[in-house]
Amino acid sequence: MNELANFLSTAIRLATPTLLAGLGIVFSERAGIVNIGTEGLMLIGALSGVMGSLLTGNVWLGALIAIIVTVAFAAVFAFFTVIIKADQTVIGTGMNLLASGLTITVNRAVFGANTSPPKIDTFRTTPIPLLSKIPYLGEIFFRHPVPIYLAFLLVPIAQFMMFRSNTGLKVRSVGENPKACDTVGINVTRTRFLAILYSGVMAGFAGAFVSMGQLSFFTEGMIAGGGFIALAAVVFGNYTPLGVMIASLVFGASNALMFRLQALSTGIPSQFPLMIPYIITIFSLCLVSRKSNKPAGSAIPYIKE
Amino acid sequence: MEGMTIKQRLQALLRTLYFPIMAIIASLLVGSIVILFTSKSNPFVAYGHMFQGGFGTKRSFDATLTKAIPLMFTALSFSIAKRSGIINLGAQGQFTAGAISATAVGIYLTGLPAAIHLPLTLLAGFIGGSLFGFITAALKVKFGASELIVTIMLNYIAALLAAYFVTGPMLEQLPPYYPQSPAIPKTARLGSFIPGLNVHTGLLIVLGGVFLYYFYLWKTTSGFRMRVVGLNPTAGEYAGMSVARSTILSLFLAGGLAGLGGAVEIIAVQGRLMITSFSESFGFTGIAVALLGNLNPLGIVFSGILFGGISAGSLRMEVLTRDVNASVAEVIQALIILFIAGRMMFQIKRRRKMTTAADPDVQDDVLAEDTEGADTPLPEPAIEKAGDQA
Amino acid sequence: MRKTWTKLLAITVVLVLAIGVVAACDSGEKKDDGVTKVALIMEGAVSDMSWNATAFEGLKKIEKNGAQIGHTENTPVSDAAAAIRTYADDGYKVIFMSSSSYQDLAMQEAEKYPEIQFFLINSGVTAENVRSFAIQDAEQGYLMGALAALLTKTGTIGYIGGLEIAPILNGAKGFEQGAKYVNPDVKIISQNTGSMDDVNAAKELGKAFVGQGVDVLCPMANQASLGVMEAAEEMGIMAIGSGLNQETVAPTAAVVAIVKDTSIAYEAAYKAYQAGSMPMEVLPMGAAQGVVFVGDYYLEVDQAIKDQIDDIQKKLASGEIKINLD
Repeated sequence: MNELANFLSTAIRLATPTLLAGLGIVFSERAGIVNIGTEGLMLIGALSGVMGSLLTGNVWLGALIAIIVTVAFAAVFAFFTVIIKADQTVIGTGMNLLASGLTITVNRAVFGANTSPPKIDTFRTTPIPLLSKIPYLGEIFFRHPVPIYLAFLLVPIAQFMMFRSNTGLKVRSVGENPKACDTVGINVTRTRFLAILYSGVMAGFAGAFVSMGQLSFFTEGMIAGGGFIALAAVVFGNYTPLGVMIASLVFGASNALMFRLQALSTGIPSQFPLMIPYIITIFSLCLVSRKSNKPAGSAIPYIKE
Repeated sequence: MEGMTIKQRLQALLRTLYFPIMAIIASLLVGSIVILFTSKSNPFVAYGHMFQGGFGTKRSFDATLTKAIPLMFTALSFSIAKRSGIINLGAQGQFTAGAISATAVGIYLTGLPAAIHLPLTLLAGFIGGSLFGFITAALKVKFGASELIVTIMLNYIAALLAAYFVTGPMLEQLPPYYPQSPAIPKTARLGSFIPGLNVHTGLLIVLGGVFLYYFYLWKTTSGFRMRVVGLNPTAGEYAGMSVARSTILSLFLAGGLAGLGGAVEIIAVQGRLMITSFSESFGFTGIAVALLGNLNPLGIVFSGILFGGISAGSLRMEVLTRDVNASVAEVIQALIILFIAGRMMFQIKRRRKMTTAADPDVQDDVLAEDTEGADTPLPEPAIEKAGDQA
Repeated sequence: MRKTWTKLLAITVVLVLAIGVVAACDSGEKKDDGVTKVALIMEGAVSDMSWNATAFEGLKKIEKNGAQIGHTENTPVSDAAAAIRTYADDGYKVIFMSSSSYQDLAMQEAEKYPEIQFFLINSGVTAENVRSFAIQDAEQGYLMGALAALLTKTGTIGYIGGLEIAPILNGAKGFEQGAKYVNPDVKIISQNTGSMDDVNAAKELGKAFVGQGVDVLCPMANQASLGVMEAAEEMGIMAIGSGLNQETVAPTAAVVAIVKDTSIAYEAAYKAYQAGSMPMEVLPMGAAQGVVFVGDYYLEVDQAIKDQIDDIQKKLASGEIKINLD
């Protein structure tokens, strides 16, 4: 039982970066933007968060800096895809390459070749008073760093914003039928641009959480496919915030399961448990793709006539 | 187009080259800012080293060509899929799969003469890669699974498979057990074809691939139909090519080309499969090459050489400046992609001036339109000329 | 169209001028002042806080010995030959290659450059101008295993490796034998994460180990080791570091580091080169050479245990204890 609680708590912890980034992507996806570059944005968030925390001595200020820097890069993506109307996959790929090269260059220039990471302020575990004392449930849900609570609290808010608010309606219609939106006076360009910026905020925060919540330092290439997994979580979650949460938890659980399988020393070569999350992603795509809420205008630049 | 004078042709060529050249210059300028901020070196000195290391001497051009070969393979892989409207981000995985299967044939089917062993090894690479491409296509056609994400996931799976094979079944039984396969026997190795240079026969294979890519897409009915599907799936159905068939065929070929690249990399350069064989991102850099080359056969050759040169040159830059990191090359490559994409703005403006009838909602259309140059009958000698330079 | 042409022309002119200027600078730089130039080619990132960072430290020690140094990092196997040629052209006389993956290419290139001395780290080959040194990772693992087996209260200890490369796998073999040496009944859980960079995977695997009853964790995974140390810290168990400074992320969990300071090996190799005394054999670099050693204890540990570990270290150095790597 204790082991199960530990497992579920791990699943939640591992789901959080995917969820944070996914909650951003779901809005940009609904607005008709496919951002392959999320991986790179998270990488930038992870590095700038650590640099910010080192500079200010405060992890929240570090996260804020991570968000600002990442949004600046998201704006570059938005500029090319929404204003210039370039191919989104192309720009996304470019952004990933850019982030990979830039983070290595900057990391080397700032931190050099050290044998130990610099000490920085990080997101520490903050048990919620009273609730964390509940047996099992307390361990599973209420002994985490603050960004994890934030991520899950954001889910209902995002769900409400998406389906009950004016903003959500705008975002969804811009993705579904940009031409019609234009006729009724919704600014397609502006809506899409803002949706991308918002996904940048979330990707930056997700990256900062990886480097300062799950760990306490930056290493090159540390996102290791997390951005792509978040993208997959949005598709698997059928383009709703609630679905993204479920998908993130499935991925988190499959990761946690993988680590436990490895620890059991079953004699299975370690590469096979490591494949589980990727295989689950592919399977889940096969399951949901036919009944998808994928917006009709997805990945198609809108050009006003 | 038949009646064009040489002057007109030159003008057309310059028109095509204008944006790529602008993009390269702009990228170098932005890259120089990065160098200024992250090192004590003079960006121009750094670029000088890079140029020297990529194109300055016979030997550095040799290194550049060697580096360009795998990139051209993965670029072809991305291009052929893109031409039929599929975004193949899985060249890296297909490359890896091809390398694994080629290694298997290379080290297990021994005792054959080179004339049989070598082609079999290359074929194995093609099949290994195309299998990965086929999986992607099958899942897309059968379940509608987005190839975008499936290919990325397959990249990770392929990398893990490679790690499994070199630490498990293919592990060289020789203490202290380095995680690598035995060396590929001579009968399955590709060597250099110009005495004194390192560039290997893989260059001829990839140029052959480029020619077939051109020939298939622009000179055969099947290729024409595939392009039609890429531009407009409905029209493709009318032309007699179903979207499903086109998807499967193009991803099969795309995977095969990348797989062939993986096979060539192992049997010509690395000599054996190692756990670190794929630490380089051949796949994603290949995408950049394809885009810079505008999915055009000749374009792929030239941009492959350019990227190979940047990559080879960055090594020299890192060595000689001592403080400019080679990853700056990655930044420059990324910027080239972004600036090249910026070109589309001009294209769209121009197109809108010329015509209002086009369907602007189909972005592939835009991309296809501006690659119109590729439809120009491509003089075959031009390709051979690229080969001569080697 | 005319405008485009002009612009293009202008740009070309600027470009040609720029390259010309630069090429001029370039050629002016080459001068040979009699200082030995020593290069290090690394497969991974120099910022890995472990294998490559220590190699780089070794290179800096060589610089203190009067050499001029240069290094390249993140150099894949397919670039290694080009890197060697670049250094050769630039007058380098000694080249260190810090990964076993480079072996085949290094041997090929070494034939072409008889005047350059090559040192391959973790290889098993020698040639006229090639020497290899074998870092005794197994000895490091052996000491870790022995200490972990002495410290454990639950009787279960864990080893977390990174990428499945020879050093890590040998470390695991040593770990097992070391643990069995002091306590034949100890239960050993040993796994690799398959990555030297995925710190989070190492951390989560460490936590999963704790679920299996492990109370002493030992990492050998370059920078990913830090994740294992963090896991031990969070779960309130003990950890034995595999490099200096790893204790910073685990102030209450890190007992000691069993250090594999390869920088000592680099310096020793360079000195041997200068002295011209390099027998044609693979140079072992382990406890006997002072490369593998027990660091300062960070936490209180019974003197009896410390003594026993010191004794094992001596026996490894003297060759009294032999580790079986088959």
